[in-house]
Amino acid sequence: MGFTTERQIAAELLSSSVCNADCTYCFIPKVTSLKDFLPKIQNSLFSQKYLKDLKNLYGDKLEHLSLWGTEPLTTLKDWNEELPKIINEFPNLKELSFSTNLFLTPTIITSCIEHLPKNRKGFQFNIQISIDGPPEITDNNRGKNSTNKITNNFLILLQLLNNIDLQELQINFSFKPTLSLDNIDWFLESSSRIWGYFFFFDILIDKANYCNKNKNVHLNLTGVPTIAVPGFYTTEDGIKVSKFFTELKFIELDNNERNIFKHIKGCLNIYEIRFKNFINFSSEFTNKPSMFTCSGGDSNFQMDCDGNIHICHRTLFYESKEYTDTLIKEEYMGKNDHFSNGLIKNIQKNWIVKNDNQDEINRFLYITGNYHNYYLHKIQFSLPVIYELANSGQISKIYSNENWATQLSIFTHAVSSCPAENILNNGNIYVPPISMFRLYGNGVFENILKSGTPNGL
Amino acid sequence: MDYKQQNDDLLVNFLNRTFFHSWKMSPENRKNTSFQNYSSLELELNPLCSTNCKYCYLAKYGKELMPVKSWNKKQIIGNLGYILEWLKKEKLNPNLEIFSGDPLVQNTGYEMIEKIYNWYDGKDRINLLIPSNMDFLHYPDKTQKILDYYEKFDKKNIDFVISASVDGLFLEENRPHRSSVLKYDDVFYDKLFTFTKQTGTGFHPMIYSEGIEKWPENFLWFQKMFKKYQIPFQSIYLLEVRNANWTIHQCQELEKFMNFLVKWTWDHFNHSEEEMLNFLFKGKGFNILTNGLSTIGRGIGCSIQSTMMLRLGDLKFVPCHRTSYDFMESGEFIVKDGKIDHISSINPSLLFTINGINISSLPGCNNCAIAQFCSGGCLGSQYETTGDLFSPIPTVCRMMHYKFRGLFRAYEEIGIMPKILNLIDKNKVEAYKFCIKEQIL
Repeated sequence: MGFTTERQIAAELLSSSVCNADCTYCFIPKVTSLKDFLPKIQNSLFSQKYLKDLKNLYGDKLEHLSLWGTEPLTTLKDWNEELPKIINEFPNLKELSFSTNLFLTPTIITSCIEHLPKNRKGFQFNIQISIDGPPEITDNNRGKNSTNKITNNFLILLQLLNNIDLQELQINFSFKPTLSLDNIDWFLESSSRIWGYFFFFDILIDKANYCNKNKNVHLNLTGVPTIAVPGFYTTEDGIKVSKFFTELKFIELDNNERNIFKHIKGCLNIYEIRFKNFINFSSEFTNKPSMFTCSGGDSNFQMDCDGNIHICHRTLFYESKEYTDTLIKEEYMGKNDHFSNGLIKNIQKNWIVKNDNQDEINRFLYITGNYHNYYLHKIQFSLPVIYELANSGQISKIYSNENWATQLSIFTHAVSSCPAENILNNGNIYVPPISMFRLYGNGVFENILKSGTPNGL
Repeated sequence: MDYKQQNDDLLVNFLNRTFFHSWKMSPENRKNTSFQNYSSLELELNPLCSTNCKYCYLAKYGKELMPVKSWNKKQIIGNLGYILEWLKKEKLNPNLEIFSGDPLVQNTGYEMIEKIYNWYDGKDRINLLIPSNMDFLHYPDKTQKILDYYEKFDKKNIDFVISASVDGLFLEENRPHRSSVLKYDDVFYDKLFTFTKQTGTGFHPMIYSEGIEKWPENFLWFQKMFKKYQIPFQSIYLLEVRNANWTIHQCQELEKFMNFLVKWTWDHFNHSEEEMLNFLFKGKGFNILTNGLSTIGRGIGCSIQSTMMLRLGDLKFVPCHRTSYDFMESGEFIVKDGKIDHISSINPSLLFTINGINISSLPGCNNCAIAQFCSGGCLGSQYETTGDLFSPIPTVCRMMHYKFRGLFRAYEEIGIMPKILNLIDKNKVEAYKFCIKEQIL
């Protein structure tokens, strides 16, 4: 039986459990027991269990496949022979994707590409590269010399791809810069650093364009940053982030007027971009709410190596009690609410289900569907939290007003829908973490509204 | 200020402007203000009970709702002392409730009652409410002690109130005793009705899916006993168990019982429209007859938004006794140097949401034809069934449809529905018309 509607078309497979980095904002605590997952991942892959599970759950409906876990390049060579088998089993599969830190040699990726079928018309391989900015940022977040490794490997990879005949296979590259609060503090010391950040990406994009000669390789590159979420943000943090986005707006306006950057154009605030997209499609908000939620638990689900289904990669590894016991007992206790407050037990009991238990799958789809398929309760359920924050002076007082509070609620859901994170923080899938309201409710959202122009908002 | 401190402040600010503010007010000042919603503090002991009721969530999930380590008697009594001292210091006088499996069959419950008696010296009149399965009546010493409490507490400005959880002669099998020594028999029922007559105790039997077909004769039995012991006929509060296991057949039986209940009441008032409407709109209406006619201003009909529930064993407070699974804990009182030092947050966001929502805003409810009448599901039961506090249980939704069909059709049949439509909110009137036109009810 598996997924019983036409809605479920995307799958994430757990491909790796060890990492060659320990990024400051990563949501996966790097404990030694992570390596225990590796043999199980290999077994699921080599025994065709992954393939059978996908087939049982999705039938022929699968359109999108992505690899998740820790750094995928650490195990990618295991997938060289297996990926083509999986791809060939699903006639409607349109794309394969993963996100990498590119610390390892790019030949791992080219070797994988060599194995992929080249004759499927329009088949896309999407590779997202995690790079946060110049060394002051990326090295701080991802370890010493990481910026050099990533940029060099990326440019080498593009050059290697020039020598591969991809036939029908299309390869897309994108960047995923993420900023921590430490990074924001560093930027706020001097706005020239923010200029430097965009110059770094502009130059890198220029080099990438120069290196890329393969018409099947597409560079969708930008330096527009996201903020690490959900984080444990305070009011003070929200104010800092608001100042940062104000600085970003000055740079954006200057750049738009004087064309300072060669490749970086338009709006530089990702949340403004997302909110504009929301506004553009807002006539569909009430009748097609799932258009405005993350795909996790709606069209897309994560499979782990123990035959479980998750909303998405965010709850990976939590299916293992041995793993979560380590987190609860050891150094992560107290660092994060969900490691100490029973929130993980809730995830294990209710939000990770066996893929051969149809009753549980049906229950799971019912409760995740209640997040995705309705809109009003999500807005309403967030209002009491927003009112409390405003009443306590932890976000702007304007949010004591019902209209403003409603708008902040809509904005937060629209620009950062994350059902898994909501459950991990509140035990409540419908309400974003308190941290998010402190992040957006101290100037960020107000400034986005103020920046609205006839051509914009 | 760090993230945790800000969350602590947020929680304390919420409590200060709601429960603690209300507890500082006199009952007179609280009346007819929004603060009457925040008047109670429920003190939770443990899930220990002399019965093992089929529908009881404590019988089923007691160890999850109240961790075993929080059952320690010494801790419970010690922590109650800290809380009472703290209430005195802060000049807070909430209405109190003692809640557990059954507080009156265990010594801890009596120690608590004595402690509360010794603590209170306030001028404002407060309540001490204790729901009980009435098994204390099997023990003459306990019964006498409790009878004495009524007088003692009255002198201390406290209304001592027991609410009787007894389902009735025909539904005893839903409430089996754990020990064969305890029995439902004529002797017990004589003690029960004698006690309730003497103390004015009301009954709150549960209308459960199992045995639902016996409810008409069970109700008649209650009324027979009320008559025999000269207890007012309306001393019974009927509430359906909103667990998942209502079958279609059981829903049909519930519908029949609703029809029966309306017609019994109509006959009781000798078909006086005025008396019937008074009972529905000004009287108690056995609770269940009034369902769908009135609107709960605060958002959720049960006490989840009006009571602060404190687990004494670990001093953690939660949205309610059925939503006390560990991740739902809102915060805790921290003891230092033998007294309450401060309040620490755990999951304040969930508390704010539960406290601030309307039951009809749950997913799916907003578009439901009977949302205007429905009292909604129980959040705890929804969590236990669906894994999500806010996802309605489809079988409970079905049961609600049958319940309202039973009630409304009976009101139509006895001819008072036009009058009812004149007395209820116009949104309900429109919803009713729609339901009738579309044959939903």
